Amino acid sequence: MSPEIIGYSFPNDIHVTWSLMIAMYPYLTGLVAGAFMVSALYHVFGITALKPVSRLSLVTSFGFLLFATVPLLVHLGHPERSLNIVFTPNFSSAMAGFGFIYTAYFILVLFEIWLIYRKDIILLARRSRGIKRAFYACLALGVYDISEPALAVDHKTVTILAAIGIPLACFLHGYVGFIFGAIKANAWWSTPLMPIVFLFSAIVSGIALLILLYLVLMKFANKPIEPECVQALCQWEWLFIIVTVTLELLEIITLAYERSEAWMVIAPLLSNQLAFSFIGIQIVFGSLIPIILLGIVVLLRSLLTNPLRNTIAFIAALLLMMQVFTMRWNIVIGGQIFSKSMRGFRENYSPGLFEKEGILVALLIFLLPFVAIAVFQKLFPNLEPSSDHAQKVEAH
Amino acid sequence: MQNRETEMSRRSFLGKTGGLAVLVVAGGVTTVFADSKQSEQIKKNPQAYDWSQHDYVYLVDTDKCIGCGSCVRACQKENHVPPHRFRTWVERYVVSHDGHTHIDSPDGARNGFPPVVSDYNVAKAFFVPKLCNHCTHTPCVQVCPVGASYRTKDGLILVDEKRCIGCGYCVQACPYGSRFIHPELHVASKCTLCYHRITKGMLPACVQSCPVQARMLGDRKKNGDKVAEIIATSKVVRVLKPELLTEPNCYYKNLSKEVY
Amino acid sequence: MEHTKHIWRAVLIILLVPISYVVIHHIAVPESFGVYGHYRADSVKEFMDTPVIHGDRESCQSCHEKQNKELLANKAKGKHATVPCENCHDAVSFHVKPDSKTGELVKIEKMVIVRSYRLCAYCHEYLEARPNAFPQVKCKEHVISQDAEFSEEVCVKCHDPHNPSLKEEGKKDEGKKDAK
Ligand code: HEC
Ligand code: HEC
Ligand code: HEC
Ligand code: HEC
Repeated sequence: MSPEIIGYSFPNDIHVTWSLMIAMYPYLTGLVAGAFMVSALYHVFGITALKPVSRLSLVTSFGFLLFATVPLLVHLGHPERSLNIVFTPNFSSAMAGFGFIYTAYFILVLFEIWLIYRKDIILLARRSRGIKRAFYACLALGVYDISEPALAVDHKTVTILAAIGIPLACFLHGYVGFIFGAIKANAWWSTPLMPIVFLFSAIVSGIALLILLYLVLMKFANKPIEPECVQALCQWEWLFIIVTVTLELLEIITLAYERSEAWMVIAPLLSNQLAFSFIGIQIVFGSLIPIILLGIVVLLRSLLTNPLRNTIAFIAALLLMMQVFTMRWNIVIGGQIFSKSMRGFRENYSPGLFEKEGILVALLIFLLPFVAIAVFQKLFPNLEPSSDHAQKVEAH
Repeated sequence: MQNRETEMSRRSFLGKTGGLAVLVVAGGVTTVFADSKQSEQIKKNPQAYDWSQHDYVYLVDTDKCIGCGSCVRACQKENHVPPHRFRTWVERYVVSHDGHTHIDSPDGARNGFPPVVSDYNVAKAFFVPKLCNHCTHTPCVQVCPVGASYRTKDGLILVDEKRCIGCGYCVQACPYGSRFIHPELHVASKCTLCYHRITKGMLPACVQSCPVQARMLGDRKKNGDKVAEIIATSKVVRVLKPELLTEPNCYYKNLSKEVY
Repeated sequence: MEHTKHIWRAVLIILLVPISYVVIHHIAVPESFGVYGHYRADSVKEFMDTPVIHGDRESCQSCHEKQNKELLANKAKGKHATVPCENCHDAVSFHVKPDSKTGELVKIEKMVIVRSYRLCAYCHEYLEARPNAFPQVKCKEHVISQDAEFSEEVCVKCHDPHNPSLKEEGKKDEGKKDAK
């Protein structure tokens, strides 16, 4: 039952307390923050090329937000007491703010989506009958004002909300990095760079997810894929992955160069237990190859045909989704493979397929947001970029 | 002779509650906090425990420890510690002349230590009992999101089993590996210095079961406390991982430099 | 402010969140929380009231003083004086319990008696890490060197567990005969 130990571990340290679920959690909140950033690029920074994914990005962010806490609840020893964290928060703990930041962000995104979809909701309410009509009327809060000035108010509010949302999303996710980065007992976690690395890789994963979703949704809906949009997504993705990888490597190079005490455990960790998942997947497969692929899209723009660009973007995005997950894994699990005795290592850790915190549950949790997005799409059919066009047709 | 002396000082620590009185009145010993309202009650009931009158310190003399594991066994029984989890454990260090260090703690020394055959020239070898350091500036209380981990007025770190959500953050934050998630209760669990015993004037199970007085409990707020005196005056007393500035209240006498 | 009716309605709904928070907070936080610090003060009491399992160093005396006067006196003057009874036997609360009515202690369970050499080996098997001054032997070699055959319960045949010294001559031979 007990794992193979190399060297000497403190006897309580041989248990991996934070399992797969705790790697899932920053992954999901990262997607939340990353997707939101894309919508903010459009709404706040005026990157109009991203208009086709402006709605999709918000809805994706919300879909993942809905389930971001699920891995935590699965992991908690006492999920039924989880609300203690908001009712008796201990503010000296990095974790205590979680409930409040999460709630604030939740409200903000919901509000923003509601404003963006308000016109659709009202049109839907007018069009439908019976229960359906009541449902949409409720969602419209009984106000059917879609006059130009009302929509202008909406637009302005959305911009403000998106602007507030940027620091909030950064906070929501940066703080997850802080939870790890502020643990002085753990040499692999304890670095002020941690929140920043988390944040940038969150944006990487968010953009990657949107590339995938956009390409797949358009393909299935048989709608044209805007090359400008894919190109813009790839450009931003390229920028953020380069920054992310630089930060990730910088951290390790600093430790190695300083010959710090932490390096005593990190060096063997990287060359043994994490050799495959860190060097193999996170750095080579997940970073180097996508950087080259996206570099092709960005630098050789004029030479690419649309299908070729889409294919390259798709592959790069898939690899980057994986990169970010392995990064979470390497941080969370890697930090528990060595003992705080600084002299002992576990053989390795792999979660079971069917356990409570196992692979199957993790996959299920990862699928739930997509189901949410699909349901949303059913209720409010205008996820696609052509929404403006569709609305115009209806208005006539 | 020396043993006898320590024995005597223990007896005086136990005071009048010695013997079985404690068992008979188990639960009957009224525990009262030093509250303004309740200080009245303390006067009426001399047996009452006043936590503002204590500040516990723990001292381990690594030169004395024989590595028998009695403390680990006693702790497990006294506190219903689940298998393969430890509120206290004992480590063995076997150091060669060229600095090679072999460390082990088979099942936390619950069953003592088997002989090892070392293939090098042993320069020194010794045992080090470990337990929660009850740090003054403890990261575990700092990171508890719900206020389940806390520091009492008499200087101990406890976990409220009814409020702990089992997130495991404190387990990660403890630099000494003193905490674990209880596999059945699903809450963080750790050494309480046998709070249920020391508040009744008894010794923690580990201190009491030590046949060679390698473990000692002291009280800084008691006049003439021998253990507190040693900690204050000795030059060979130090704490574990001092660089983390957690200010442990568990001190080690004659600790070799290999230990951290 | 025309055309902002819907915004205000939404804000109103959002305000329900902090309001319900305050209400639930009132109900959900235990009364004793925060009395002495950011924790539930009753928790301290609960820790204090946890039942004691081991007695203290005198907890066997009161009963066994009468029946085992010799044993106790023997132990008190021997080398095992500092070894608590509960180390070799078991915690007192598994053996006796206060009677629910009279409060007097009564025996509820047979006390564990371990005669195996493994018990002695916990403390006396030779280990490099033990302090040199501590009496230790390589159990098997020791028994053989004393011209006896090794078996599970051999130690207590020569050594009285309550006063193990065999330095005086008479005791030594007596033990050897038993062990053979
Ligand atoms: C070093 C271990 C050790 C310690 C310490 C110890 N005992 Fe024992 N005890 C034994 C063993 C072994 C036996 C069985 C002896 C035998 O059968 O020869 C025993 C037997 C006994 C018996 C039964 C004697 C009989 O004749 O049936 C009593 C009663 C007893 N012990 C009480 C105590 C008390 C009281 C203490 C503490 C003052 C104590 N023991 C401490 C190991 C120990
Ligand atoms: C309630 C008082 C009481 C206390 C306190 C007590 N015992 Fe006993 N013990 C008894 C009685 C009664 C017997 C049975 C004696 C008999 O049958 O001759 C007994 C028997 C024993 C025996 C013989 C095995 C058996 O169970 O019959 C041992 C060994 C023993 N006790 C050890 C201890 C030790 C060690 C302690 C302290 C940790 C202790 N006792 C505390 C009352 C007590
Ligand atoms: C919990 C630990 C412990 C256990 C178990 C234990 N002893 Fe001891 N023993 C001691 C201590 C402590 C001393 C005193 C050492 C000293 O004087 O420095 C001692 C001393 C001795 C001595 C030395 C006497 C002398 O003259 O120096 C002998 C012999 C002995 N024990 C035999 C035994 C036997 C036989 C057993 C098994 C029944 C046993 N011990 C079980 C702790 C233990
Ligand atoms: C045949 C009788 C006999 C048996 C069996 C026996 N011993 Fe001894 N033991 C002795 C004698 C005699 C001495 C004293 C020898 C001496 O002082 O050199 C002694 C001394 C000791 C000492 C003290 C050594 C020292 O350095 O002072 C210890 C410890 C000890 N025995 C433990 C054990 C243990 C443990 C066992 C069971 C595995 C055991 N003995 C079995 C006869 C025996």
